[in-house]
Amino acid sequence: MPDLRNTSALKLESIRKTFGRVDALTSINLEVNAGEFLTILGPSGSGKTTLLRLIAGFVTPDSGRLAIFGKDMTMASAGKREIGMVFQHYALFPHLTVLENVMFPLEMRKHSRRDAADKASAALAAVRLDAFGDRYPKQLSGGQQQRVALARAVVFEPKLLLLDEPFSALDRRLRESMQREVKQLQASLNLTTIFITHDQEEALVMSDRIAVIDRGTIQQLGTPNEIYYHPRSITVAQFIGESNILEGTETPEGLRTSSGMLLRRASPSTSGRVLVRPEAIRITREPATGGATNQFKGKIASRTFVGGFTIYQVDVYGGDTLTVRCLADEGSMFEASQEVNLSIREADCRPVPQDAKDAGA
Amino acid sequence: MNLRFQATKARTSSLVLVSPALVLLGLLFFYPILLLFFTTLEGENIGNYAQVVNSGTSMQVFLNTLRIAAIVTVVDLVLAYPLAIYISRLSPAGKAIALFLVLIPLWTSQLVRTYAWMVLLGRQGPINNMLIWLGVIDAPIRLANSEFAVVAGMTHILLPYMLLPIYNSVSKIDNSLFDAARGLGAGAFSTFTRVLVPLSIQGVLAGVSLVLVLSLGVFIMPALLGGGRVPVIALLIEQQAGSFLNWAMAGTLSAILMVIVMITFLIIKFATRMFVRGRIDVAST
Ligand SMILES: Nc1ncnc2c1ncn2[C@@H]1O[C@H](COP(=O)(O)OP(=O)(O)OP(=O)(O)O)[C@@H](O)[C@H]1O
Ligand SMILES: [Mg+2]
Repeated sequence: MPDLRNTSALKLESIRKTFGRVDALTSINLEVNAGEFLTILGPSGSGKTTLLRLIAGFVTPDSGRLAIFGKDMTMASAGKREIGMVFQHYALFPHLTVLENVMFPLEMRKHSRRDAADKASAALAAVRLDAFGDRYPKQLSGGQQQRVALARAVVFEPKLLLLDEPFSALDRRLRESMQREVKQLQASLNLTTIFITHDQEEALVMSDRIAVIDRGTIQQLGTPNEIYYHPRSITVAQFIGESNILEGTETPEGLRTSSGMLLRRASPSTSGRVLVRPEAIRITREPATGGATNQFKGKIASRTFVGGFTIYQVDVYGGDTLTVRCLADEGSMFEASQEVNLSIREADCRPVPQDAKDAGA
Repeated sequence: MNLRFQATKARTSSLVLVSPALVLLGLLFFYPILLLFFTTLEGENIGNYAQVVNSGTSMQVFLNTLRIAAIVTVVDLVLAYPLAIYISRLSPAGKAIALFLVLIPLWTSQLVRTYAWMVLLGRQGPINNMLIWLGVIDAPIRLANSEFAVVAGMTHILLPYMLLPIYNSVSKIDNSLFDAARGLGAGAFSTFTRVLVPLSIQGVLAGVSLVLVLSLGVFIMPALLGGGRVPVIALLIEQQAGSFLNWAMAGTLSAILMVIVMITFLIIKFATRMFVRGRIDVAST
């Protein structure tokens, strides 16, 4: 882990950007540490690409300040920022060979042709494409083009690496191997990286920290653990992972939902909402003994088998429908309309603060 | 294997589709050209060709024609390239309007446009009036009946032939390539020479060959705007055929012009081949 009080590689202060009447970004504050892998996660249209293009210098903010390693770059042109970027559709030059593509940023920096070719070959070797230097981008598969784009983005030793949903066009298996590859490259170069995705699993897997963005604002910034277990708003909770969100009134014993379920919690709260992750609910045939204080009886409404685990929808008697996720076990699966017992530990009933917009309403 | 078979089949069936056009072209175009060619050999054998090649004036006129065509082509290229880039960046509505404006001249008779230029460039014309009003000149100057007038008129008329192919290839380039180039450290000039030009060279060469070939044979502009001071080959041919009724000589000049056009065309074709050698389908990014 990089020292958090060390240099900040990127600092954004009160960045605003509007397109006509669309507020693409409203007051973005963000500090990225040197060597950090930060993911910007958000739904479609939330402003992720706009933010990344603004960092890269293709978009200038309406107001606010942007500094890279302490140097103000708010108005600097893209070429002056020394940022490597991997575009969503790779943006490889179709008229140049793979090697020439990777040499391009070096030639723009007046490296000699020899030197550029040597460095580019080394960068291609790092992404295991040294044998493909003479091909044209069209002659490569999607994953290979992606790796060329990656080599081109890092070959000139940029200060920051930006990736805009780089794996969205790849199939699952390829995506996972590319995730590993990018992570390894980033770690070996100790390169500060800002990564965009709308895939929450990808964000959790890859990041040192995640910034969840919605409607042009950063909703929460934190480590994957913090974001997953301590979401600061309903939006974040619902966006990351599966969630059961129960609302009700606070009583001295715990939260009582409008349907009558009582949820005891480890620490008191006044938020009126509780988040229970589906994998935190234990599902058993017999009532559980000891441990959990929150126990409910219910009936299986539906079952979905997803390979490694099974997802049940359970109608709690006189209560809500809960989503439960447990490891798949071929021998002991529950059938639809079977009666089951659910138990939830107090610590797994996590309070969720009201969203800012809800609090105002 | 299968793919090649399909390609052959497609080629055969498209040959069937174009055959009426081919027959028409053969009857109305190649047959008269053949006739014309035989006329030039009548009686004199290749004497007519020898006469042209040995005549200083004729060769002068050929060179002059080539020179004017080259000037017009270069001016059109310099005007059309930035314009094509500009139009390709417009909003869809802006593009439609701009392309419509570009096409209007193509729908107007060449004669009408030539007379419009005569009015514009006349002694009492708006350009002279404007220059006098601005104090650039004291008395009207001769703008019409000059090579300048011919070049201006031809440049105007042929501009769409340069613009449309260039626009076509420029607008096909993925915009993120320009961002990528800028982000990787290319300035405006490098982005132009290293990305834009190579990716639009086919359109540029198509435009150049169209304008060059068309301007070699233009007749109306030199006739009406040149005022007899701008000798080009089309005028010479008209003179031989119309005034001297020397059909053989007119045919000979035409045949030589045609060969020049074909050579020009082949050179550009060859250049295109060289520029895109090995490139994989550069045009369709
Ligand atoms: N050049 C532009 N002109 C006008 N509006 C724009 C422009 N670019 C983005 N927007 C708007 O700004 C908002 C944010 O767009 P942005 O592309 O940043 O979203 P995103 O988070 O990247 O979405 P996605 O996941 O779909 O790529 C959207 O409402 C979009 O319509
Ligand atoms: Mg986007």
